[in-house]
Order: sequence, then C-alpha cells, then structure tokens
Amino acid sequence: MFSEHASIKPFASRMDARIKIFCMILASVAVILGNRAVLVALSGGCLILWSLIRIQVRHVFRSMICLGAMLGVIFLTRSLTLSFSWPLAISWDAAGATDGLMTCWRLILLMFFGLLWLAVTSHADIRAAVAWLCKPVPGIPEKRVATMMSLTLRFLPLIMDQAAATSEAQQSRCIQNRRNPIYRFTKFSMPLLCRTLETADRLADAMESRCYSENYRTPGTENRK
Amino acid sequence: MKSTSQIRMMAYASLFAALIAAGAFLAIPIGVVPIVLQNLFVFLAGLLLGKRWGLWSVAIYLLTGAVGLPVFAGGAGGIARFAGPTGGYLLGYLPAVWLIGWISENTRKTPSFQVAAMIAGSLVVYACGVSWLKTVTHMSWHKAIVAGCYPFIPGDALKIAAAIPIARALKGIVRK
Amino acid sequence: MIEIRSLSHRFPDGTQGLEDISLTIRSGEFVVIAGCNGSGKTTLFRHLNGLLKPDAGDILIDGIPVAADILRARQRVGLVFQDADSQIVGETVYADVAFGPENLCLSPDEIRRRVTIALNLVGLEHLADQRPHRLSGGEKRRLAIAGILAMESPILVLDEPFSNLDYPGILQVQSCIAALHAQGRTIILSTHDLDKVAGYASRLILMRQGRVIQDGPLEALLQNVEAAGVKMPCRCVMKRR
Repeated sequence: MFSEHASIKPFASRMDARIKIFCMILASVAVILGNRAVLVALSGGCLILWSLIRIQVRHVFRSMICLGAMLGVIFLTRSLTLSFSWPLAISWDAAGATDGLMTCWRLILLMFFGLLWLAVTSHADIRAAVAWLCKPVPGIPEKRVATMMSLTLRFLPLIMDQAAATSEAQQSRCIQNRRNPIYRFTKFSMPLLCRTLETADRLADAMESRCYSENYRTPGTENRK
Repeated sequence: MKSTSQIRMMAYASLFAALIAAGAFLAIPIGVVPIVLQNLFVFLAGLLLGKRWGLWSVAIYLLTGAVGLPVFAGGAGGIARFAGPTGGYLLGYLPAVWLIGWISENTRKTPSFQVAAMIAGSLVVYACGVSWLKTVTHMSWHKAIVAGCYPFIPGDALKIAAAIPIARALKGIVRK
Repeated sequence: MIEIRSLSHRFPDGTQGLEDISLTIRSGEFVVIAGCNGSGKTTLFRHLNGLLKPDAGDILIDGIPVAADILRARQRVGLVFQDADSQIVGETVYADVAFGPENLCLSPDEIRRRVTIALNLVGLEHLADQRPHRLSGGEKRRLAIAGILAMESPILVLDEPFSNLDYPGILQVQSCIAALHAQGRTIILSTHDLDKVAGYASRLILMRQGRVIQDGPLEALLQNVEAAGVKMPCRCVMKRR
C-alpha cells in the first residue's frame, strides 16, 4: 500500500514548478480569505497531500516550534485581556478566543502548504518559477531576480562561517571584556562586511569575465522540458 | 562602464540580502540581552547602496523567504511568516530602506543627515510592524506599542550610532 | 604548563570531535600536532582557550581549569587562527595589534609598549600605519601573530600557520615562530607539512579521528607519520630510498 502511495512524490516533483506555484498562490489566498467551510475543505486536502507525500516530521521540526510560539502569542493576546492597572486582572474573551483560533488555523494551513511545496520542489525550480512570475511585471528584469536569489543563498552560509570565525578570533582576544555596545557592534560588523564585500567583488568580476548579461534568456524554465 | 557597475551592485545587493537574512541569526550580547543585527544591515543597505539597490536587496530577501527558501530565522516560514505577528516589521523594511537611501542620496553625507535618515527608516518599520501586530493580535494601540516598539528602541539607537562609523569606513570599499 | 585530562568533545550534530585525549605540555616546548583534515586539531585548539567546552575531562593551564577563568585562559593561551583575514579588526596595523590590549583595559602607555614590542618581534614595525588588507599573505599572518603577542601570552597556539603562503611568506613565519620559541614561549602548532617545522620542533603528536595516536620526539616518529595521513618530510623519504 505504501509503495503505491510513495509514487505520488516523484510525480509531484516532476510537475512544472509554475503550476505548483500557481496552486500555492491560490491555496494561500483561499486560506487567508476563506470562511470556516473553506478552511475545513483545505485542511482535508492538505492532510491528504501530506499523507500521500509523507514528509518526514523530523525535517520540519524547527519550523513547527517557531510556528507554535507564534500561534501561542496570537491566541493568548486575543483570548485574554490583561489590564495593567492594579490589581492585575485577567479576563477571558470567548469571541476573541474563537477568532484567535481561526487565525491560528489559517497560519498552520499556510505553513503546511508551504512545507508541501518545499518538499516537492527543488531550489532551482523555485527560482525559475519566481523568475517566470516576474516576467510580465514591467520594470523588473526577471533574470536579475533569479540570479540575485541564487547569489543570496550562496552568500548566506559564507556569511555565517565568516561571522563565526570573526567572533571566535575576537573572543580569543578578550572582546567580552568590552561593555560598550557600539564598540562591539562596530568591531564585529566591520571585518564581516569588509571580508564579504571583497567576496562579492571577486564574484562580480568572475561573473563579468564569464560574460554575464541580463539580456540573455532566463535559464531554468525554458531549458527544463 | 554601465554594465560593470550594474553587475557589481547586483552582487552587493545580493550580499546585503544575505546579510539581512543572516542578521536575524547573528546577535551581539549586550549585558544579558542578545541584540540581533538584522536592521543594522537594513540601515547599511540604504546608506551604502542607495535607494534603488537597497530596495532590491530587501525585496530579494523578502521574496526568497516568501517562496519558502531558507532565509528566515526559525526554519522555513514562507508566506506564513508575513501573516504572523512579526510580518509587519519584515514588510516595513521595504519602505524603510528606500527612505534611508533616498534621504542619504539627496542630502549632504554628514552623520546628522544619516542619523535622521535611519531614525525615519526605523519609524517606518515601527509603524508597519506595530499596526500589523495590532491587526493580528487584536491588542489595543497602547499595548501594541508597549510590546512591539518600546523594547526595541534602545537597541535600535545603538545600531544607528554604530552604523555611522561603519558606513564611513565602508564608503571606500563599496565601488559604485 | 598545559594539562589535558581525558578530554572528549561531541559536536551538536552527533559527530565525535575529540575522544579521550590526555596530554601534558610543559613550558617552553615546541609541539607539532599533525593529522588529516577533520582529525580534531582545530577542535583541540579551541578547547585550549575556552572557545569550546569539553563534554568530559578537563584542561588545566598552570594548574587552573580553563572553565574556571576563561579570561585568564585566553590571556595565557594565545590562539592564532588559520584564516588571518577574519582575525584582523583594526583599520591600521597598529590599531589591530592594539585591539587585544585595549580589550584588557590596560593604560595607554602599556598598550603602546606592548604594541611596539609585538610589532618588533614579528618585524612589522615599519608598516604600523598601513591598512591591513594591503599586506602580503605572510605579513598578514605575522600581523595575526602580533595581535596575539600583544596579549603577552606565554603559550602560543597556531592553527596551520603556513597554509596559503608563498615561499617568502613561509620563511617569514618560520623565522618569526623560531624566534618566539627561542625567547622561551611555548609553541603549539598544527600542520600537514612536517617539512616546514622539522628543524625546529621537539615533539610530535599525531592525531586521527579525534584521538592521539602517536606522541613522542619528532625525529623518532617521522618514519611512521604516513599512517596518520601526514606526508613524510622529503629528507626522510630520501634516506629511506
């Protein structure tokens, strides 16, 4: 039975990312605007897809914790009214609680649809689909969008490594003795920025030497089929 | 040459998009409170790259996160992150970076104007962030401001003060 | 003196970084730690001044555990990282060397004295007003060493000090380290390339997969370094042939 089910994932992965992103946008709009009945239907659909695609919960655990905290805040602030005047009084608001639950429900659905989309779409496909979406928007060169997204993802781990190296080197020279926060901000950011800006400079040179130009065809969507 | 500088600015703007993303993870402990660097990099994007490329870097950061690529703190967020209580701050970076860039491009590049630009930018971020926080959580205006604005003012003031020397030192490195 | 007693460290992702390491390094020794990438050299170094905390075992610097007083450990053990660029914070060579002493909140006169001495020791005094990224690779490496020397650490720990250097750069760093050892400092350095330290070091520690597999006088161990994935110095290979 499971082998039969498992076959939907490769199918969903092969599906054109443009169709998937379109479905995602539709689903998101429906989740945000829909009433209770729509939400029930969407939740059902989402659950079925989740069980078919069988996403491993382990991978999405961190996202769940973050979402959980977010939901907790929303629910509590809507259902409880805290008066700051003395004596502290907490009152329960039933209408607010239902309302808060609805909002939480919508957020959970959005998150689960997002995780589905990520589970069946590669990063490269996501970029290509976004570039394709930007194409009809005047004044936005879609190739630049795709290139900048991939550069951003490329720079991110580099920055984290550089930040860790800078922080360790500064701790070795007893930076924690310094209490002045402006000094700490400046001394931490300067080497990080200098170093990563140099990398960006070299990258720009390398791109130019390989004749990068925005006038060529967008890689990704067209070459895929 | 135009295209040369365009590629370079594109690389810088992507770098700042990544720095803004990384800034949500990078924190400097001040006393016992860790202060994240995210909006410091938003300020610097505006001051160093100007309104056009500053806007590009924030937009790319938000777009990359919105489609679910892993740039938001706390795992994959996607659209849900914008709909959540803190979404307003993220969206507020867009007008803020443009405003900071616009002010610093159209005034003399003295620290006082830069400080004014960053204060204006921060106000825009707070305005977007707090009003969205209020909408999502149904708090009163007063409570939304107490919870979503006051606690961040000291940290932001320090970051504004730190951004001035950083921007001055990097002016020479960022080739336009 | 450094005493490491059954030190183990596991990374958050579950991989074993160090396993049951026990070492004693006496003052004034020149110790080379060799091993492949990922054998735990850098992880061990990070424990020496408290950047990482052991899961088991402990480290004593002159009889006091690192964890008891991290600031003291960081002053006693100066750690020079592999990537010189990420250590350089100052806008001038002078300002960069002054960074450490400033963090120790010393008097301006003391800072000036220490910076001058450190720059003289590494031979960079003529470049004091230069901007650091104008320097050559060897000069940057020596600047990183000077930054640590200004902390007046009696123990110097250098992680891959010869990596990515051209020949003149290697010679500069070599003679700088030799001079510092001759002044009585304890030197601990890691390298893949024993050729560059064979004439200077007295003791060799071979590491593999987070463990110490050999520990002894350098000359005695040179014949079996290849078991640890380290290239045998050229002159030993010649002798064997």
